[in-house]
Amino acid sequence: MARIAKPILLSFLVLAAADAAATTCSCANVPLLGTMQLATPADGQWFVAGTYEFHDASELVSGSSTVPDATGRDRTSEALVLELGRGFGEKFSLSAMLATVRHDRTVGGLNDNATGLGDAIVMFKYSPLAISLYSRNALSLGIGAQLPLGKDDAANDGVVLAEDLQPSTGAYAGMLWVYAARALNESSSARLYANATYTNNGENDRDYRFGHAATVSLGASYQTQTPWGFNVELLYRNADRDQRAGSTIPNTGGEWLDLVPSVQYHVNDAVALRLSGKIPVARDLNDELQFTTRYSVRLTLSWVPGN
Amino acid sequence: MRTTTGSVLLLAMLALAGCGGGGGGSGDGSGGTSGWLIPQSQVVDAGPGQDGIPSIDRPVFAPVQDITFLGDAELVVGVKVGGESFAFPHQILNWHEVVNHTVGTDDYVLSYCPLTGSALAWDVDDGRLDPDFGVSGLLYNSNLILYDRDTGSFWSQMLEQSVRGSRSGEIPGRIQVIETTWATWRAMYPDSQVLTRETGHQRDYFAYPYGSYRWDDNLLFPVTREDNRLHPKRRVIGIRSATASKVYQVDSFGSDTQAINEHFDGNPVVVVGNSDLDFAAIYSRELADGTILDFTAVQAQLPVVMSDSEGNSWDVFGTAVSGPRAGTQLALTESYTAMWFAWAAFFGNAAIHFN
Repeated sequence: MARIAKPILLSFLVLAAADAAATTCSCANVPLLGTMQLATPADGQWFVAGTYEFHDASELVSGSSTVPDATGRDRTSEALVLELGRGFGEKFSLSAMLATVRHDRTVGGLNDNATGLGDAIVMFKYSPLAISLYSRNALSLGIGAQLPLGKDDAANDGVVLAEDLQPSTGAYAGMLWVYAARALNESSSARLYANATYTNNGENDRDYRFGHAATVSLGASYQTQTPWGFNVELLYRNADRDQRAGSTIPNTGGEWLDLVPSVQYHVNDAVALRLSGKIPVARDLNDELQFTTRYSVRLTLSWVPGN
Repeated sequence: MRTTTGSVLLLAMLALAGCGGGGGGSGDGSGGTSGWLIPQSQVVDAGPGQDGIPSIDRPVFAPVQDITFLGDAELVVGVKVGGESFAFPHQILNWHEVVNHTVGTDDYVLSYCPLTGSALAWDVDDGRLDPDFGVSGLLYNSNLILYDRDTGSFWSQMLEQSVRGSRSGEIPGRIQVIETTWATWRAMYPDSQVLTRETGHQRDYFAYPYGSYRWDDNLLFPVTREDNRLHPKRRVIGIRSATASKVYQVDSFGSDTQAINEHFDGNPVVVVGNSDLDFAAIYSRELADGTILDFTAVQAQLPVVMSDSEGNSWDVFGTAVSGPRAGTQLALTESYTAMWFAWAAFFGNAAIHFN
């Protein structure tokens, strides 16, 4: 799988430009509020986005091969993520995200589910470069924290559900974020971009720690002369194994490479709708057996008040 | 438009958050409404969900000589049911944990918990509509909790008891199991049948699903008490009563078979084991007629492992195979092989036998 990661990392290093795409990071099937919009609001401008995501993690994979699952297991997650952003000065902005999450696990007709507030993320962004009349390049850096505001002790019939079924990880995390883009033409309607995140997860009060995770994505976007825009992205994700009390948990962690196509429609200058999906391309799950992503679909409504 | 957009987002957030803010479940097999006989707070959802680890309900067996997928040192769990002997390889049990098997009209369930290294077989031939058991997806002291498909009651494997549901408190009938290596089992019972990998499920049976867990110091799930006198994963055979427990380390019997005649909690028992051959068993020395036997280890006559002063020879399942008491079965004890940490967690203050 390292042969998957290397070209992406190399390409990332040589890219630069700007766009308003998004990346999603799911950790052990827990949406981690990686649904962050990449646009940097202008000074004093607010940015609001709401995202609905449906994630089907019912695919049984051994190492890198899909295997038939005779148990008929159905593992899905839904998340609603609200993001608020505001620009400060020319180069600084702050984003805050809050999610509600529902997890469902159904095996043989028996369903376990959990619903509630998930984690929150606060991200401080610094954008020394932005695409403009004078520059085709954009660069943004971010540092943030994940706050366990949500529910991490959901139970079924008195028995606390497994960590991956909890709406919240129950743990703080530190996050780093880098975004670079380059406009390919003067109108900047065509762009290449790269995006990378790193999440350093803490331990919750049940001594459980989701694996630290890194994502790198490479994408291209094209905005037509109409309200429609298109985007395609390769998303690579690497996650360490989860741990409990310092012991690694088997059948967690791995590497994933997904294709993320999306289409965007600008309702007007202030409001846009974006529909995207995640299609697995390759994965290497530490030569172990895991239920993992079959596909996910995301719909985002973004709003820039005052535009 | 602006106000509407913001309101819709906030309402949607509140709607999803307001669906209960907690967990729930539905379906059959929830175990009824009665309480747990074990601390509910220490029952853990391990993640796969009920039947997420699929039991083997239609096991396919093959003769010993047809088995090519086992190495000599690999462990198997052996039973004798209905006059036949059967072996269940760990490499398959690691992935399924529960096998429902019928021999003639005898139904029994064999379970193996890879996290505690404990294998037990229960006689479930009690006329129920569905005698099968499954993997509940729950653990207590890191140990398998089974559920029965007839009533949905939960059963703690190492406690050998239903711990929740309409059958709460029931204790299943025991069937003696012998855990040993494939080489030893093959030498003991060359005519036995062996569970094959035709399980109906596609798994990489050559792979061990828990990484370095068998050897390292780490536990994957919390336990109620820890005891560091032995390495947590040391294989022990333990015996317990209502008031006492004692363990013998499987790798401490030595290369010659040992038969240890002693009393446990006031009852005469014999502990027989061999480290090189990798087996151990504990039986009562008191027969139904009140006779108390003293045993001597027998070498190199597998499956015979001990003899007594009356001239009887006894196999590893505690059956007299020759002598005046041929056909007699020694009474079973509440004993089985497990990892030390698990035995210590379930049965605190266990005495440890040191050679």
